[in-house]
Amino acid sequence: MLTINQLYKSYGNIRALNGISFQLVPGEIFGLIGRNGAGKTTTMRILSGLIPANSGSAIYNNIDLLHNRKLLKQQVGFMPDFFGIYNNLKVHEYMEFFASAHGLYGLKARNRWTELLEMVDLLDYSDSFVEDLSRGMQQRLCLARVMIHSPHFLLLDEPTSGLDPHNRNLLRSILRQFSEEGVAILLSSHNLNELSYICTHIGILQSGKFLLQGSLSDVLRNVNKTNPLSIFVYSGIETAVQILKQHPLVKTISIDQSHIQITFTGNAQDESLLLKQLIDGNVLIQSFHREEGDLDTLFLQLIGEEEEN
Amino acid sequence: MFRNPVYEKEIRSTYRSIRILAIIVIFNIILALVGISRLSYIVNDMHFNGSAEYSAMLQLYIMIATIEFLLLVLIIPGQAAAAISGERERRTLDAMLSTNITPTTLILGKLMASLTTIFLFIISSLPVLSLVFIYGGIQVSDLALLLGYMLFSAIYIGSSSICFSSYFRHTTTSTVISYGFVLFLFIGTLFLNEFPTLFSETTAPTFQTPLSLSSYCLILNPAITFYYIMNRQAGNPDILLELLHYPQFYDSNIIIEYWIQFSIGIQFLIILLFLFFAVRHLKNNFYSGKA
Repeated sequence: MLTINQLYKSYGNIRALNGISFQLVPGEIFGLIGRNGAGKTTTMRILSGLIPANSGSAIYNNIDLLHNRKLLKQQVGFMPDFFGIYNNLKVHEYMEFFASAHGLYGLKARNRWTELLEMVDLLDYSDSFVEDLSRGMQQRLCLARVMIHSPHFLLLDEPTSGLDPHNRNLLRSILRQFSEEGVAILLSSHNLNELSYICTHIGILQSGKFLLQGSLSDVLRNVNKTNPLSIFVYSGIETAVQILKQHPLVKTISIDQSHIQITFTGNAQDESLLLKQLIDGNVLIQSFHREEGDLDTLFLQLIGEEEEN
Repeated sequence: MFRNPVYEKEIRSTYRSIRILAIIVIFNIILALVGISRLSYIVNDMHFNGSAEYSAMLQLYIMIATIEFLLLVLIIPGQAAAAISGERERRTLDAMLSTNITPTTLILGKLMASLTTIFLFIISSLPVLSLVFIYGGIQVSDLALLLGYMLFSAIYIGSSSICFSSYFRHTTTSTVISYGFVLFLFIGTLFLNEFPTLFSETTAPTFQTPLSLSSYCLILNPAITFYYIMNRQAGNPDILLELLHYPQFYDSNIIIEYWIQFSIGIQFLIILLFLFFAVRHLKNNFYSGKA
């Protein structure tokens, strides 16, 4: 497990990171969400050893990796948002280069890149030039090369940008595979729904600090609080409306035949009490549920609230 | 065994391209045309006069070697000035430096790759240079010394280009600066040497200062050292004094006496400085997020 504590980073007068802390746990996928300049790339570049933090630590096995760059590079694989490639190398040469960059040579290197190319479905292209691959294939190749030294932590900056749905899907399944093998993954994306498909944990960054972070289910529960409650009534709709109008936590009501949609600001317990009240009032309820929330909604809400503050 | 992944990658990708082969062929065609045409002129002249002019063969040697040297000087900055800036422009620098490759490994790998190319140019030109052995006058050890200095000059100019490539984000800028620096070394130092004589009524130096300080700038100029080595081999060691406008009736000082050793020593120090600053800049600026 990698425990990141109080990371601070400034570029001149601009504070890029304002004391963020989180954990990368083996088998988990942590998604970083934030607008441009929120601090996502800076976090990744610090954790990959490319830039130093002003303060903070990244503890792995009681060792601060930020002060042990050699160990950090052994433990971390980083795929930048612009994953430059060498067009005039063949796929296997590209892999061999990065293997040698991590001190892997000969048969050991060959076995590893063969395994990885097979994993990302590019083994048949090992003799092709990198420039002849499609963008999706190049992205998968980059994913394979960041795994060449079997790191425990994978940092992926916008890994799905510019990919078609097929390749996005393929990349997701590869990441799941890595994750199942015990690799902890930190990834950023502007496509929030994409993150909700794949991530187990989410952190929303704004101006270098987390507005919210936690497991995906916890975070989405947060969204649900602000989503409308949907009630389908079998009979007794007038009574139901009367009860709802009198309830202090109900802000708005809209009715469409037997479907009532309300803005309800209460928590899960308040929801249960409201349901009991409706049943006690002899309203026959067909269904009673919160509309599903999504990360887009949550992100826009949080950013909006932060800006108002 | 020491292995440099950057060097291996560079060699692999450079020699795959037809471009390098084409440049080597053109380079050797130019040398061969000059060499053979000059040789046929000399041979015709011998037939006409009925005697062999050995000095003509030495001139042939000087001519071919000078052209080769100038061609290499033109090629090196074009090769080396994209070393780091090219990686930056391709956006591969992040990926490379997030591995175990250090800025030092990167700089040395790039320099070695450039030198390998230059070495190939030099080796490939040996058949043309060997024309001078037809009638003798030059020994193999002389040729080896000259080619050795050619390679050394390649390191000198290559390290400067790599340093500029580390400092400037764009290859175009680093290439222009690299050629500008070569121009300064070759023409600028000559101008500095001539500068005092332009404003003095007499070209004769004063007794106290037989050589102006600006003349010592020539020690930085690899072309002067190269030219001096060649002319010494051809039996004209006074060429240096002529270049320096140094009156022959003065005792030469230690620097002039050991000009080749001094120039190589100083140029070697400059190479080290260029490499040091290239690595330092990459470390400081890349790892602080400015690169």
